[in-house]
Amino acid sequence: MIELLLCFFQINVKATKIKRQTLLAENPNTGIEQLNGGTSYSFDPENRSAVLSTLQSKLSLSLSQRRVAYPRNEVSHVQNPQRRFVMDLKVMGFNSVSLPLPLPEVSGQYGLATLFLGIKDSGLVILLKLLLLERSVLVVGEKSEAVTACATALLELLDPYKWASAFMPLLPREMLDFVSSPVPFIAGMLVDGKQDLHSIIHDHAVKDAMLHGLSIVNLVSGKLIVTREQGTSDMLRRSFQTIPELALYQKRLDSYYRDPSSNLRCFKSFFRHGATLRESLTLKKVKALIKKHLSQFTMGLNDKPDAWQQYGEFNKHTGAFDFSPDKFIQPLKDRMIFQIQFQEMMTHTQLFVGYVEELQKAHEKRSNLLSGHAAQFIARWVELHWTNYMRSK
Amino acid sequence: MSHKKNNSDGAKQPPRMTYSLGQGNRHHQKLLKMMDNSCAEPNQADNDKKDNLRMTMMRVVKQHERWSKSSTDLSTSSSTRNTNLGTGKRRESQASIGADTIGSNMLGDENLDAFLRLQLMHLSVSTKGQSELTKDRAFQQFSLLSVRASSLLNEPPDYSRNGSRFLDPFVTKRIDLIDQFPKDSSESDIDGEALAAFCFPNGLRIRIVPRCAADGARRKGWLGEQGDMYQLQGVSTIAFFLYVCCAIAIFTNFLPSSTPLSKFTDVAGSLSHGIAITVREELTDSDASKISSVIELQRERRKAAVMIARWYRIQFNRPKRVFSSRAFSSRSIKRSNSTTGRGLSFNRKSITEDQKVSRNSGIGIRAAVDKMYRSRFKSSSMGDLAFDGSDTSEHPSEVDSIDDDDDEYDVPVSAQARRMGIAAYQAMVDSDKEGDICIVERSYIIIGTRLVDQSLFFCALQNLIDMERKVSVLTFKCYSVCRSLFRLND
Repeated sequence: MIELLLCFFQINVKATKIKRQTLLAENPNTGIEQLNGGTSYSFDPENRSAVLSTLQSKLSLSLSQRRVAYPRNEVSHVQNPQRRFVMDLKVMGFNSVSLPLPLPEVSGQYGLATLFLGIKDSGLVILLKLLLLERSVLVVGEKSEAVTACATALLELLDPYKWASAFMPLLPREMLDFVSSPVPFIAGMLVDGKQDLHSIIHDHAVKDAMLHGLSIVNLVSGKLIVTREQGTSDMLRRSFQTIPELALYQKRLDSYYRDPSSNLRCFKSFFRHGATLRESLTLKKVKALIKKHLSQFTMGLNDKPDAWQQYGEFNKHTGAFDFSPDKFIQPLKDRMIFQIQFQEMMTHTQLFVGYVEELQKAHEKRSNLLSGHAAQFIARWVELHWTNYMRSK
Repeated sequence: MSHKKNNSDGAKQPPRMTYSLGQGNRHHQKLLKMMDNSCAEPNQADNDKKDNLRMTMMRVVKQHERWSKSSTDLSTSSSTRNTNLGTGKRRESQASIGADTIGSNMLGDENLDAFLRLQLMHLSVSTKGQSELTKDRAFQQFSLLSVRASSLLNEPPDYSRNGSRFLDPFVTKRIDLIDQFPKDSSESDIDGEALAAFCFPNGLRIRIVPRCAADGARRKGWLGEQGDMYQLQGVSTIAFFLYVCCAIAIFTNFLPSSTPLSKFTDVAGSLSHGIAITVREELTDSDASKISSVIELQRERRKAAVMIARWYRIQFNRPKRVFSSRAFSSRSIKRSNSTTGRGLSFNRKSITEDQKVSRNSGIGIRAAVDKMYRSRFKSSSMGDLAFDGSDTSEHPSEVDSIDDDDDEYDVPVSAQARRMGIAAYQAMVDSDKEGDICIVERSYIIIGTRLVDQSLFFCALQNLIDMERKVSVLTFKCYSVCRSLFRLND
């Protein structure tokens, strides 16, 4: 037994000696004090400072590395090999830092994927619309990385707009009353199991805040609980338009996520290795689609570089340009009214009635075909072959 | 805030907001509306709520004033302060009022303290982001937060608020700055207290686990790499601060309600980012054993508190059960009394009158527990008592009763089973001798990074943590081997 211990001790002392020599070679002023009779065996803070000092001065991308971006062409995005950023500090056994370029985006990729797969495409669009209306959002989840990444992703997804109110990635549980704040906010909160989540959602303050604009993103069960504010939820529901492409991207991302080797499943492997090329392409497309969708709300302002001048006036007293929402909204309203008037007149024309009749005839023809002999023959044939195929399987 | 203009005809136009540079004028209106309501309908509950809010806001301003005084450069660079509260005189008077209010009312309010810390963190980080983002540094500040042994010894965590189960962690709000980089803290550095509000939103957890169960703790993520937690931090709250200041100004009547708030929105909000990795490591301080004993004491207290709570709950619910149960009908009580003489009753339904009196006389919990044990021993030996005809009032000793049981139920045990039982018992005794380990949370924080570089810093910080883990494990092994060798030599 003693021999075994001695052997073990020798190995360890050897290893420690090597380590110590390396440490001393790197930084002669420091060393492991603990071996010399001290009772504490934690890491020496001096060594940490040496590593941090090196990190602070050296850990950054060069200009050319920063410029590396995904190719615009989708095929080359997926097929081209990725460049890597590698940095070996060569200090005290510090492992080299090696990451793909462009760097994995924690909020833009991991956060977006978590959010997108959680509340699905329609939920995400509604959530972003709520944020555009400056309504508060509380993100609740069990993992701090998921909650904070999703909250930060929301800020990014608002592009081209910028969130101008309070943002707290993690709100302490004891400060739940903060949800009653009149100022809009994006906040995250950690929950410890479903019971805890239930207690938050059914908290009196939260329920009250939900009547005044608060919405909850539930990452535990992947649900968006939309505010019960009078007018807002109804308006969003009635004006909701699905984005078909977004639904397709969501299905695609879902299939990538199911793969056990996907880095989106684990935060630690994500920030070490990043998303796969296919995942990054899908997420890039999702972001572009959302940006396009959100930009349509300021269409008139982006027509010309100086288009913004049409929607306000210069205030001589304050020396500032005053934006007038009425000037922006009124033309839109007029356009909508005239559009409706035009459609109303058009529906009374023979041309329109003729078109409706054609649709009616086409439907009847289709129904006749589906119930006809030919359709029944094809259906029987397909059924027979399908049954045989399934049996053979 | 709202300009009511008359046009040339003299007709009143609807109030138009000035959207010069601001966002969220809806909230300005909301704040004004709140104020109007408070003036129009003074309600006690509402007033209390608003007083609370007002005082919180004052504290934010006061702390912000103090903080901004320490960094005068920042105060000039940040347009937040230039625009908000007008002249310096007014600001000073606000601060003094805030100080009075804190002194009288606000001390000891934990929620507001936490709220204040968060706000301070927001303010300091956002201004720091504006002023100090230098290009030659990859990051601005590193901090390591945890709890020191001395802090824990001086102020042990409150057992009454921390779980109910044996292995549940204790949470402490006492968080210390263990290390920071750069060492020479500049004026604009964020203090540990403000950082703690971000990194430990629900407090720092300390858990005592038997050393033999360390592997299980690792599997559950209570210790080691499995338990690492990651956080992104991003702060952009200048607008929030503006609202707070506006609200203060209105509530404290420094500004008339008609003051155009649009002036205060002349601010470009900036966003500063940071990352944090929280790890759960064994406390290897020289005072670790002391801390373990302190936490163990707290655990004992918690256990006692839970036991009392359970007992109280049972007592509280008892009358309902007693009167609703058919077992306590007059017939059943009679039957139970008759069986008492034969020594066959030991449950609660069949207690004697004396016992009833003593139970209801409020002797105390200890008496109740003693009674429970006594009745248990009695039950274990009641067969003998009944057949021997000995006096039932004499309670046999514990050892006797167990021996009696053994005699009564003498089941042959195989040698293999005995050996296994002995080995299991020995293993249990040995693992008990190993003692406990104290697991504490430590948070490694880097702030002042770019959003696009966050994965890079997560990677670097994780490498740093892994390196520290390796060194700690290595030195710990050497230390324990040395210690065991010295013991052998002695």
